[in-house]
Amino acid sequence: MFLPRLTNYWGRKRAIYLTLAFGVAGCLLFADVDSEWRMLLAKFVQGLCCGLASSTVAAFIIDNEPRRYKGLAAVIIGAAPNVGLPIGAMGAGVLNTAFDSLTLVFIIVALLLLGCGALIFASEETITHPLKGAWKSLVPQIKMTPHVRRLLPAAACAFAGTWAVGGFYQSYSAAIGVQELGVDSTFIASLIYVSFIVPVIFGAIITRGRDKFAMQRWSMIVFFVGVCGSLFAMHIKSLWLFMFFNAVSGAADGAAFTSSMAGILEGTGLNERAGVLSLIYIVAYGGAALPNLIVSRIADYFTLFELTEGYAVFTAAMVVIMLLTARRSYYYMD
Amino acid sequence: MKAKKQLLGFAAASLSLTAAFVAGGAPIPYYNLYAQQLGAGNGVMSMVTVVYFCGRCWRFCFCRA
Repeated sequence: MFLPRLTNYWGRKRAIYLTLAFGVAGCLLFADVDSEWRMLLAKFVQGLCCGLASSTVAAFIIDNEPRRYKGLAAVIIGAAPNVGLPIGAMGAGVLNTAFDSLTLVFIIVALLLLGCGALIFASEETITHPLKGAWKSLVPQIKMTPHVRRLLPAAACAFAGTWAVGGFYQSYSAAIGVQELGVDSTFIASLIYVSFIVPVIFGAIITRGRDKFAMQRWSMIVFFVGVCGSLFAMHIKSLWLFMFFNAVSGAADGAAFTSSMAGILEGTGLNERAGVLSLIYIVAYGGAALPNLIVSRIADYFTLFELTEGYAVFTAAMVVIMLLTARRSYYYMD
Repeated sequence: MKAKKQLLGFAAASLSLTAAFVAGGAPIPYYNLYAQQLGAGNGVMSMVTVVYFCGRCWRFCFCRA
């Protein structure tokens, strides 16, 4: 799949230590937030940690995959974000509710990361002859093939639409609870986020082996319905209905992403895969970051309900463009 | 012995990958409290997610084409 480049020069273990160090730094910064800049820096460092982990640590998982459990590495790499994020959020909600502390969860997670570092230290390096010239490896490779060019408009709509809303829920799960639904509790805040992120796994699972073209369309339509449902739940101030529609959107998010990704990867040669994946992720992250950047500039002038309305309109636009640009023949040409 | 070492590496790396995202998930329920404590508006909570995505994007530098 994707073999990380830097780790081929540095060795896996050194790159993982760097990854875990970013994670610990993020925890220490979050342990005592005293300014907006510190909060932003903390989350940026966590982003570096998670992004690096998805390549450096993932490579080490693949290197060490036991022969008996072939395929387990790919499952773990795919599931880790959607397992780790809800555990972290729930842990934070529970610890804050039980001990009234905003610091405790970060101390525990920092210790967990240090423990991981110790286990990695005890493991064996898998790159025994590192290559020279590490800095050259830092240039990203992006690749576009004719197959990808045909599928990209519809896939980009799916990625941007779902990830933008996912980013919005990540930002505002706590604030929506307080400002729109009238529940001031970090535990409920964590439940709201978890209600969106956990069903993503189910969405991904039910998509496997099904018609990618139909799955992509229907999951995006269901996603739009889910966002509208959440909006309605905010309107009638029903927490449980809000979480229900969050779950619907989450499952549709997983299905839309998995079906779009499968469509693109299946027609792409192994040697082009990493470059194409880079392109896809840049579109997905860009599509998610841009609407949220705009929202961060205008958020102080609107209520969260109005902002969610904006996201519903954005999602509707993505669905329409996707329906117009996707062709069944693009998926089953070769 | 080699198989044992391999299993240790596999478990350690799987745990590390999950732990990285546990760390990423932990502050999410606290955003609203931070914003209240700092006297900041809603905008900062979106900005936090934007910088998180920017941070994650760096992984493309570590992928081999």
